[in-house]
Amino acid sequence: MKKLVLTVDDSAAIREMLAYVLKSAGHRVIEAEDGMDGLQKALGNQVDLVITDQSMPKMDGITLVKALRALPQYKGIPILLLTTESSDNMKEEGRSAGATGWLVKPFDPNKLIEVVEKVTR
Amino acid sequence: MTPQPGSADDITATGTKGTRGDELERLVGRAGAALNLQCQAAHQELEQTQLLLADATRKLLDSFHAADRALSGLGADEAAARVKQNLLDASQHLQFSDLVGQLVATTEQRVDRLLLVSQRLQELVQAINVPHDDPHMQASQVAGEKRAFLEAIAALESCGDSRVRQWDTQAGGIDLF
Repeated sequence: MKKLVLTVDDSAAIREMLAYVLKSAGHRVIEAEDGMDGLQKALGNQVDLVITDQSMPKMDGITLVKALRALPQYKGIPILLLTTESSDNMKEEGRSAGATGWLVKPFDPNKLIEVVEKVTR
Repeated sequence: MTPQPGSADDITATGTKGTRGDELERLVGRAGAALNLQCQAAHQELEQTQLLLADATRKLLDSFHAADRALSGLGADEAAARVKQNLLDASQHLQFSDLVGQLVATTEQRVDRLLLVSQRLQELVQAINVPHDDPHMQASQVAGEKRAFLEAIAALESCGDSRVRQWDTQAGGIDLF
């Protein structure tokens, strides 16, 4: 079943590579450049999965997770944090905010697709 | 311990200074000027690095997408599947630009704060050195420059470590909660 995925990252390279890999697997993609843009696009579209960076201008990833989890339509939607950060403290912060998983950059395209299929099943 | 007036430790002294104090001021002034010059050069080089990185990344991404478009017109034979897998592999390594961009941005912040410290240091040394008719006014000016210098040092000390821990483009870990 193909999904609508919202990707949120201030790096064009990451957004384009995420879109390439996800579209190669047949998914549809909406891109956002920061947390605020991501929140607006999440409000305007009912997406099946959100993949967000942590460190971004305007609104960071963990704040975005909290904002989405406060919305009834996003309570059960998987949200993955994709970031360069890998400290246990930050992961715990992400988990407490309601993130579904924590992926450290760079992502392996094949593993990313496996994770997407697992969390959207 | 309070520095003795005119001693090498008394960098804010406004009265008569001994030879050691004068020498220290000259050395500090010289160090500040050298730091300033090198930090400005480093700042420019980092800006240049960011521009080169952005330019190369954009061109690499454009070439990547062009290769993918060309591939889609070739059908689905074994060779095409190999090329597709190569493109997928490249999609992992092209993420280097995000990692490098973050590292350069962190270093730029560090250099900018070092530059501010060196500028404030020069201003402090100048305030100490320039003779002033009103000693109270000079003391107040030196105190102001010293405060600005200490604020610049605090900003430098607060520079965090880079969040980028990667030393290559091997895929990072995955934790599902």
